[in-house]
Amino acid sequence: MPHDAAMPAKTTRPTARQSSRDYFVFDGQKIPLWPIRGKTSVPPARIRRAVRTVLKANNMLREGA
Amino acid sequence: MKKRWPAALGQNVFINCPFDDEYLPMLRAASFAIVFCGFRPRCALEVVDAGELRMTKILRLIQDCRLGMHDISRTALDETNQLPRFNMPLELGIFIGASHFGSGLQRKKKTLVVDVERFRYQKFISDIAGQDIKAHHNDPARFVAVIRDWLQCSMPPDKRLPGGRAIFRSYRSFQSQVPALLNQIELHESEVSFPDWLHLVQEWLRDTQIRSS
Repeated sequence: MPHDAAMPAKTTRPTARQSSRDYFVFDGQKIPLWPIRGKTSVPPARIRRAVRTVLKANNMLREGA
Repeated sequence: MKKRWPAALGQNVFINCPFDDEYLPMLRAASFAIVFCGFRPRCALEVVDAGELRMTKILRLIQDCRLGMHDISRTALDETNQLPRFNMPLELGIFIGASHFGSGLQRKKKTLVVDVERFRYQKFISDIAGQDIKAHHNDPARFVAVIRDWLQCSMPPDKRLPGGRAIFRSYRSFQSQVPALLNQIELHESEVSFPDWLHLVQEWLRDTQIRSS
């Protein structure tokens, strides 16, 4: 992961430390997302599912998500 | 060779602010903006370890963060005991001290001080004159723009962050879906921890179709 916050448009294949889920895309720019410290009240997988459910219901789910 | 912060630590932003309900909308907007800009918000709320001294926890956090955002706006006396809160100025002092007396990478820390009004600090903490002090007017939109502009300054000149307005527009969109999200994970608004909030933000940013205009 480069030191710069904005990742270059071209990326290499994800490594063990950098998965395809480690960024989001805004205006064609890949912006990194960093691991979160601290324990959640509910499992992160449940949060992920909830977000996808709500986005889908609002027709806001990103293509390919 | 120039010393640089390791990538993960170099993106850490220490948030030094009040942790009460009144301030919560500001904290949530600020942490959303930090994530949106590609940085990592860190604050004392991320660790719930009764065995660890609070000061030890704070010192470790400060050591781990290249950037520090300090909100000194909470100057009013506490309604119950009629005393002011000193935690924010204390942690600001430690952060500045670390960048001054620390060695190596600690000296490369960057500080943002925010208050309700830009020059109000001169009346209660005038010794910090010379730091980067900005006003948020208790307005989350303004706060987001201030944080975005400050983070932009800590990036290479050829890298451009999304504008403050675009970030806040996304934040409003996210906010409008928070009740439904909490309903899905069966958490009440008052039960949402700082790590919960960051996970919600990150997952939402990953999977939503963000409109840039």
